[in-house]
Amino acid sequence: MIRRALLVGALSAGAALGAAAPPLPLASEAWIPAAPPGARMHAGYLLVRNPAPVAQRLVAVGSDAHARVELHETVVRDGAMTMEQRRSLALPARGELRFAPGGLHLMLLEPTRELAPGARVVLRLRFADGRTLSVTAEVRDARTTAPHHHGS
Amino acid sequence: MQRRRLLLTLFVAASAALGGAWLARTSVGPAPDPGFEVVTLLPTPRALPAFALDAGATPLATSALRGRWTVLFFGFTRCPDVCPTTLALLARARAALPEATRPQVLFISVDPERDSGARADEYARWYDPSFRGATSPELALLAGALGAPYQRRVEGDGYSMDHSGALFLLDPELRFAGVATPPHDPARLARDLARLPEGGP
Repeated sequence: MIRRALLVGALSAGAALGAAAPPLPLASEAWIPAAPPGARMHAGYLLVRNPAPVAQRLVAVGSDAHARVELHETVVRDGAMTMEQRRSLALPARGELRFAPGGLHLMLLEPTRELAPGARVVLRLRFADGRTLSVTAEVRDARTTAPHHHGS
Repeated sequence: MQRRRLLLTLFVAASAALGGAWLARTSVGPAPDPGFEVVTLLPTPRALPAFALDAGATPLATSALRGRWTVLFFGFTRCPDVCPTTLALLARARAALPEATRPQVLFISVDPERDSGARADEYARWYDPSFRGATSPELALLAGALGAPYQRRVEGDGYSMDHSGALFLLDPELRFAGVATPPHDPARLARDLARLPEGGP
C-alpha cells in the first residue's frame, strides 16, 4: 500500500519535473542497530542533506523490511526521556537533518524479516514535493563497535 | 489524576536526588572524588527499600547483587532509541574494564504489563551475557527511592513509556550511591566505573 503510494508519487513527480527542479536531497550514513531476537521495532539513523537553495520537507519514510515507519524525536521532559512523533520535518535550504541516537530517529515498526548485523534495508524518503529518495541502511552491531559519524 | 500525582512525586524525588548530586559536586569541602568525569557519587549512600526481582526462568535474588557495584537502568523492551543505545553502550563500557572492576548491569522494565521478567532478562542478556533483566513488584517504590521518573503515555492505539535515561549506581551493599545522567559516553563512563571504590564509598 505504502509502496504503491510511493511509486505513484515518484512517477507523478517525475512527470511534473522540469529542468528548473531543485536538486534532490542526499541521504548517507544510514544504519540500523541490530536488536534482540523478537524485537518489534528498530531505530534508523541517517544524515539527510539539502544542497538546494530552497527548503524541503520530509513527509514520509518507507522501509523494505518494516510494515511502517514513523519519524520520532527523543526529548527530555520532567526528567524522563520521552518520544515525540513528528508528522514531517523541515529540511532547511542548504541545511541538513541528522538522525542520531538520543535525538531524531526513524522508528521502524513491525519488521518483516530478521535483521542480523550486515543485513541491508532500503529506506525510501518522500518529500512534500512528491519526490522520493532511496538509501540503503546497514544493520550494525552496536554492542561491540561504536557506530561512528563521518564528519558533519 | 492519581498518575499525575505519582509523576509529581517522582519528579520531586528526582529533583531531590539531582539536587543532592549537585550539592555533592558544589558543596564546600572535598568532593567525594574529583576524578570522576560523568558519575556523581552521593555524599552519603542511601539505603533502598527492600525490592524483589522477577527474571523468569533464571532466578535473580536481590542478595546476589551484593558484593559488587551494580549499574541499574530502567527501560522497556519496546523502546526503539534510548534503551538499545544505552544497553549497547554499557556493553562496550563494561568490555573496556578489567574483569575485577566490571559492575553488574541490571535492566528493570518499567512496562511490566508487556514485559515479563523472562522477556526483560532475555532482552538484557542479548546485549551482554552477563547483563540481567527483570521486573520488580516494588518498581514504583524503587524508582521513587532512586528519583527515576517513569510514566505511561498513550500513543496511537497503544502506549509508550517515558522513563529516566540515567544510570543508577548501587554500591556493594546495595545502597543508592551514585548516578550518571545522559548523554552517556562509554569511554568516560568506563573510566569512572574503574575508579569506584572496591568495598563501596
